[in-house]
Amino acid sequence: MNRTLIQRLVIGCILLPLCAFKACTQDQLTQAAQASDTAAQIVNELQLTETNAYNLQLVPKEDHLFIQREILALSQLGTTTDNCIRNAGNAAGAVVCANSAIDAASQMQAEGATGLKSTSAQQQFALAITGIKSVLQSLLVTLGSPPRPAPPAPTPVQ
Amino acid sequence: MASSALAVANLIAQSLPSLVALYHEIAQQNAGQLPTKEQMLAKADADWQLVGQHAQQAIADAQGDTGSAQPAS
Repeated sequence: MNRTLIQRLVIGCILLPLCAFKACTQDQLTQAAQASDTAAQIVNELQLTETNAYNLQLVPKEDHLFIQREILALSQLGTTTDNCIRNAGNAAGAVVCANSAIDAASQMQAEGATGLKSTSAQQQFALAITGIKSVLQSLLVTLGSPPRPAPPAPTPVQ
Repeated sequence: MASSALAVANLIAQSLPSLVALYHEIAQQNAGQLPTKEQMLAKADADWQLVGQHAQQAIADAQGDTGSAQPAS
């Protein structure tokens, strides 16, 4: 009887802290929402970096306008993704939201590769979009859905 | 020997309820600190909205028409 008690104590001492510190209550849809917020912060960083580069005349005006319009489109995509996650009833629904956002981001990446003239703007934009896609692909893994194979990378126009 | 083992076991058994209560309290604190899905979505929405507003402002500024900048609703 005492051995059983000690065994239960040991098991309890191991399992309870694991549950307490492992954030057992955080569900997958909350993680999807966190991924969206992380993507928003990446876009915010892009915006700050690009605006600084434009003010330093490192980025031409047409590229500045192009990127800011893409950022505006990304903000609308982010809000749409948030609504998608809000209406998703389960992880499978969030997977659909994440895949849609990845597709849209890939489309923007292709537009940036062909529409941006300066190397600096191309690099900044490609880095940000890659970051957003990485966050979303990590989310897919968390949701139990392996990321789809990436399409061929667009060729930048020099 | 056997009696001391029994004493240790009794001591542990006596402290079990407080140990469980402590872990339960820590778990509740952690759960309270974690945002819910709706809280996290509200934060994400606000961050996206701010990004959109800044983009609109930057576009208007670059076009030399700051008067046309409208905050996103």
